[in-house]
Amino acid sequence: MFRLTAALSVLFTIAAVGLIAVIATLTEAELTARTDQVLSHEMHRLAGLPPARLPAQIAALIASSASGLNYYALVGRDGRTIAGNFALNTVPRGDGAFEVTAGQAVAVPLRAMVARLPDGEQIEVARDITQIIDVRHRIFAITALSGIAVIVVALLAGALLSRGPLRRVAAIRAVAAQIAAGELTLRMPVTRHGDELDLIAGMVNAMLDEIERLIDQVKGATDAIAHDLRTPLAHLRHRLQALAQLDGDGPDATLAPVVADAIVDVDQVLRRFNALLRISELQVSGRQAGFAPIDPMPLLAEIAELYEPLADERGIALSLHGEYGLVIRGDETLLLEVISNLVENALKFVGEGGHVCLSVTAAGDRAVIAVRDDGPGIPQNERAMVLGRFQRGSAAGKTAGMGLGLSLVAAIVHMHGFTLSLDDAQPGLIVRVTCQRLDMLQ
Amino acid sequence: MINVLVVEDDAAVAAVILGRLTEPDYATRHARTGREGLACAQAERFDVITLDRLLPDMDGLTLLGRLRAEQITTPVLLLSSMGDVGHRIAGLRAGGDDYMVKPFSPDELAMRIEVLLRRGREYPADAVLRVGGLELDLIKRQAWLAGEHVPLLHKEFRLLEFMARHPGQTINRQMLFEQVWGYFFEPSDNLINVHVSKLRRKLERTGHPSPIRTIKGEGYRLDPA
Repeated sequence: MFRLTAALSVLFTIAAVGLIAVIATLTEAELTARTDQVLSHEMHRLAGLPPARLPAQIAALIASSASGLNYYALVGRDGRTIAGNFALNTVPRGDGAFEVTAGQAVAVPLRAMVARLPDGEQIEVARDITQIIDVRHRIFAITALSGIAVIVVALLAGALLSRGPLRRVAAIRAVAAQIAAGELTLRMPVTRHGDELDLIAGMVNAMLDEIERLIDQVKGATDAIAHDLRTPLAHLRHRLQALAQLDGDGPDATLAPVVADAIVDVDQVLRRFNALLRISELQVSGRQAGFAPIDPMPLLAEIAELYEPLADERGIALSLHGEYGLVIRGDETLLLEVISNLVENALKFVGEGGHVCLSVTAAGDRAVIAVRDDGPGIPQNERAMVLGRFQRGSAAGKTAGMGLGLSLVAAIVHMHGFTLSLDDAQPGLIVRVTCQRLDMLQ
Repeated sequence: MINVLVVEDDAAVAAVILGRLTEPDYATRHARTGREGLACAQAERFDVITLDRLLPDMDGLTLLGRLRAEQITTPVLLLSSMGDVGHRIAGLRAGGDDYMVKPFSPDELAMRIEVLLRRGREYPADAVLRVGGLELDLIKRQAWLAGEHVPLLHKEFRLLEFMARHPGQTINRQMLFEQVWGYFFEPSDNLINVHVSKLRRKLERTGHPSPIRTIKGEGYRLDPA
């Protein structure tokens, strides 16, 4: 907004200065033309006289003209001045009047004209143009000063006029950033001005209403399916379990492993539904009841201890680095779940002989919790996609998984107001959770 | 005999609970609505109440609040299909003593009821837990299998201790994760399997078979003999 105002100011200044320059040029041209007319008239009069009368006529003209205004000279063939009150040192070729700078012939600037007589002598006529030069200088000074003044005034006016709209743009930007971060319930501020900004804000709000409605519709349908199917599935599981526990009079013993497999399958489906509903709950709840100051390092140490046997069994080196004493604000149980999910993912994709490193480091007023591995990584174009529900990267292949782990991580991280980033660890993947440090705020 | 009040509107779930809590160990009373449950709890004294979180006429937490307001301190085991940590915390904060997510194993339900009843009882200072050939010194945190010492890490000892406290009962992975590690999120099957396998290998190093059995689709069981 301010840049637009500044650009308009510059354009206005250029236009104003240009206008003044045109007026100045025309004025000077007019004054010069009038001087040239006078010179031409004088020259015409002198050239029409017999050569013998010229010295006397020139002397008479000098005597009668105002002191220092008009200059006349008759120069002989040998270059000597026969009569006159000045002498031109050099004469340009061609006809017509020309300008002589101050000090060249006399102390003042002149407009001069020269006529050659048939006998080789020449008549020189000149007129003081100090006033024209003075006008030229004054107009230049006025142009420069008025240009600067116009720029300053225009910029000040621009700044003052754009303060209000700039404040509104800043408010819109702040809301837009929150909406981009997932706060889809927020709306752009609309004033009573009804101007272009309000028009745009209104259009964006209408768009957001529609997006929110569609998202709610899709999510609601998914959640409703998950919720409604959970109860009959729970009943099914109870019945399968009752079937598995029947003794003697139950079904053929060969059915027992089939029933056990069926229970495992039902559990898988229930687990997916539970994870799905959990993500939805986290996304909408925004609960902060369990939030407290936490040192992330002991959490990482706990998770490292928890997963060490699994890493050992798979021949993966699990290491822990970082510093104690960084304090962040969050829900300990949920953060444990985040780190656990990330480590579980890393161990899933890193092959035997690979490395997984957990760390927490300070970065200014932020604490960065990172899980780094040297597995296949996730291509850049898939990194945002894998945070969605049921999305898995191309490197996942046939590795077991629901495609909900990172989605759950993203929901928890978002709920905390932290940022989640997936980057290339060259080789492998590094997942960073960046958190505001409480110890720095204090 | 343990007196249990079962407040559950879902007939299928109620059948599972009542089918597991049978005589001679349990005496049950079934209430199908919140009002009926409240009336029963006010009229009789129970050892444990299992309470469904969502009832047709009253929210389970409201009923729980009424019970606690009337100084009825009977341990309450909340049952719910809402398994999020937030719901668990809300349930426990409202006065619940434990929280189970549906669907659940009937054995786990029975086990949680036992744990609730045992809560608050102190073990004798020289307590030694013996299950078959397994012997656990709860003070020195030492374990023996058939007289052979089994060196265990802290968490491994807690895992074995929890199983030894419930011999012959199937314990699912989620319950182990909650009771031994104190985590309420869902672990991968592999994670708990690896910890149990490691414990099993340590027990087998004594030259005797491990008493821990895997029950497919369910969890683990420590054989009493």
